[in-house]
Amino acid sequence: MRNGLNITGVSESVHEYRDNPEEAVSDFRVVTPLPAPGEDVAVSRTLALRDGTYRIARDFTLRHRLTLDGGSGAPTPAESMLAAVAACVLTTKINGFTSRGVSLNSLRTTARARLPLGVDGAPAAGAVLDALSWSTDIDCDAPTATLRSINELVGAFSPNHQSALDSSPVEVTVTVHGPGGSEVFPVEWAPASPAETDGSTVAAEADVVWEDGSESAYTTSLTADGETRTTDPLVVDQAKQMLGIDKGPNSQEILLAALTAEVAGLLRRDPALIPVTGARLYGSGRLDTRGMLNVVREVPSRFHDLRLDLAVDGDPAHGGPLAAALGAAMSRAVLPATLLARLTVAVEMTRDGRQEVSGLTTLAQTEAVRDEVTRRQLAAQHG
Amino acid sequence: MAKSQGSVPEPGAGKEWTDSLSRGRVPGPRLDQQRVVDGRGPSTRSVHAGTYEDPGTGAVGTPVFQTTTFKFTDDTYDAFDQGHIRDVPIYGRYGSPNQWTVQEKIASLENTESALVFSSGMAAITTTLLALTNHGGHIVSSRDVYGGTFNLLREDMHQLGRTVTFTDPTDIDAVRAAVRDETQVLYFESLTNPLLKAVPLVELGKLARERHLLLVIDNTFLTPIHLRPLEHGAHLVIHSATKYLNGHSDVTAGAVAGSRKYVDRIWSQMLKFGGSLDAGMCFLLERGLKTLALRMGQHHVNATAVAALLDGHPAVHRVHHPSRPDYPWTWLHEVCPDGWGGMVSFELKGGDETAFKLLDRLRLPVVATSLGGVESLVSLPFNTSHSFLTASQRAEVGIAPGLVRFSAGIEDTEDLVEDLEQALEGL
Repeated sequence: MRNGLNITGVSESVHEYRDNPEEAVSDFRVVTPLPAPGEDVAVSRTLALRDGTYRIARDFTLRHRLTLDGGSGAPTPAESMLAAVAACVLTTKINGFTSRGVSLNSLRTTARARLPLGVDGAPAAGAVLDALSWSTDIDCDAPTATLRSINELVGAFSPNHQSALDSSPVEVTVTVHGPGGSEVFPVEWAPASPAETDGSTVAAEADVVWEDGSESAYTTSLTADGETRTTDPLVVDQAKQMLGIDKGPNSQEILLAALTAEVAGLLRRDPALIPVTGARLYGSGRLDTRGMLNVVREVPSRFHDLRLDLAVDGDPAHGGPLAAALGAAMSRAVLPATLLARLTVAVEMTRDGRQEVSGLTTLAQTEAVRDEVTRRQLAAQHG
Repeated sequence: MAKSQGSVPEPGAGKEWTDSLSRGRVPGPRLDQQRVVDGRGPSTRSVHAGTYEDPGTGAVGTPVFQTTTFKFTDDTYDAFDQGHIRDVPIYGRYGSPNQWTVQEKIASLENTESALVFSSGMAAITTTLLALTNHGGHIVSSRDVYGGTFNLLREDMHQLGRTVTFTDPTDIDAVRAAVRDETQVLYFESLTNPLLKAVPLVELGKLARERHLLLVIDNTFLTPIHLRPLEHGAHLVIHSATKYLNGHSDVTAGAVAGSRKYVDRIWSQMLKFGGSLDAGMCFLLERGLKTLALRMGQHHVNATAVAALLDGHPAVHRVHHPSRPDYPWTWLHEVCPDGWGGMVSFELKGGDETAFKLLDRLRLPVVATSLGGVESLVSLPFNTSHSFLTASQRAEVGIAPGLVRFSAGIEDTEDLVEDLEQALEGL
């Protein structure tokens, strides 16, 4: 199969989702037990996802380093967010090029951003990842016009890229499981006001290299004071029911794990947790594939409906203080603030060391692309 | 012959984005030369559905395409490129006209889009369960399933990263309680072996939809002549085609049927596991299927007559058959009012020793494993199909000492009854 992707399966999904929209909706979930105060790593597990009308078991572990200078070789949440964007862009490009009948020799997407630091040297409270960009290096015989076209369309249809462009609020709750049942407490939060900083940043990067089909390997790195820490290679893939081979978590799950890990790391030392047990942070998000495949114009292509729920066992009387603590952690976190913001993302495509495409993507620009694609296709259908 | 019916995705420069791709799922694979028989009775489907009408010779029956490989065409290369290789004759394991013929017949009988045949029932079960689940997935099933299936679920699934919970298949609340967050499949037999317990199929179908699970039903004992589980909420139906579907105790085969979406996934798994059915066996299975409706009628008549003879006989403690007034799972009568196949089980008062004597005295039924053939077969579960269970486990699922499993063939009813009467005499 060209590029290791079953484009027949993609095509059949397009037609299935037109007839049965409920089959297009996928709800991804992860859980991150709150690490102990002395631990440097958050360990997240992927949970079964609902894909249309059935479930897919997901059995992957994702680790995140909770401090920039910690001893673990795992990525920080910020690095994983970049990996999630880059991997999603890359997978969407595989779909786009294969639809055009283009055979790829190699494909690699690198996402970069700068992480603002506070005066304490930790990520600045409520800061947004700065100068987000991605660059794809490609080896194929397609004309430059095709590269430009696919790059533009991927900007409009890559769900995680769209989540960066559009405002993607995270809805947050606390659920206390007590002897008399469960009680849910809504959490109010907003990114913390910019604190005094000295303007220092660290450079974060994620480098995703396509292997075959939907499978890619990625490394991430963080550079501070001229020193770069790079992770060992990790794997990103799709579920076999989504035309992958179940080799690793997918890019939406990586994003959710990064989100829960960061918030769990900020929350874990809060005194509000002392009276309760079993604290774990659930993250979830929805992908309506009709958007990514442009089956229905009105459906967003972004990864959306993002939710975090802190589940604990204890007395519901502790729900209020926990909600306040979780709200405070959310406010300090970088990833929720980054997702909430509407970003401009610089994109680029190179071939043989030559820049073929470059520019800035914004939500308005990608929405215009979707409108134009839809208009052309409707015109073609009506002769 | 080039390829089966249905369009191809046609990727290329004119396809701006994925939503421009052309192909949607179609039933099959079906060749243009195959007979499609929908909206007819089961005997008509048994005889005609799927038959390959050879344009060169006008042969009435499907020729045997005894070849492992097929000449490449542009369609072949397109299929390799785009992924629809299930629809093009390429290689014996991928699919062949004889496979497609018998698959179309089974799909028609099950009133569904697609079917896939295998080299055994266990190949069908293993491939299906692994195709439909992922590492970390969970299956809810029962100790009452066929011994080979139970062994797969108990001994191998955990090694493959799947876990299994065994429940009482007749208790919908127990099944519901066994469902976990990572559960993907409910796997049961419509009529269990050997006690003929009927699973609450409609309730299981509702549960599967409520909880986003796939319901897979092994319908070997009832066949689509008596019950079509897909019409009552199942997503996929499995058969040991060795039994009633073929019906002549001369073919080992398996089958799965359901929507093209799910069967394509199972086919993709089958490609890697092997387990495809060769052309000769497909031919025999197709021939056997042509008389399925006729045979099932006679199996049912004979089994019901045997059950009536046994019920109340002084040597018999209990009869397990849906025709008996004390049969507990009356929902079976609602979903298949016309018959229940050829299986009868009964407990002799004298226990296993007396059961051995009965087997020695029988003249017509053959003492052998398997079931569903034209000839009556008889065996004792405790030392055959359920010998893998301890005595207490057998008691737990209801297999009492002296239990005899009787597979009524299609012999003349009075001959079977007479033979059983003489064998029971004086026990």
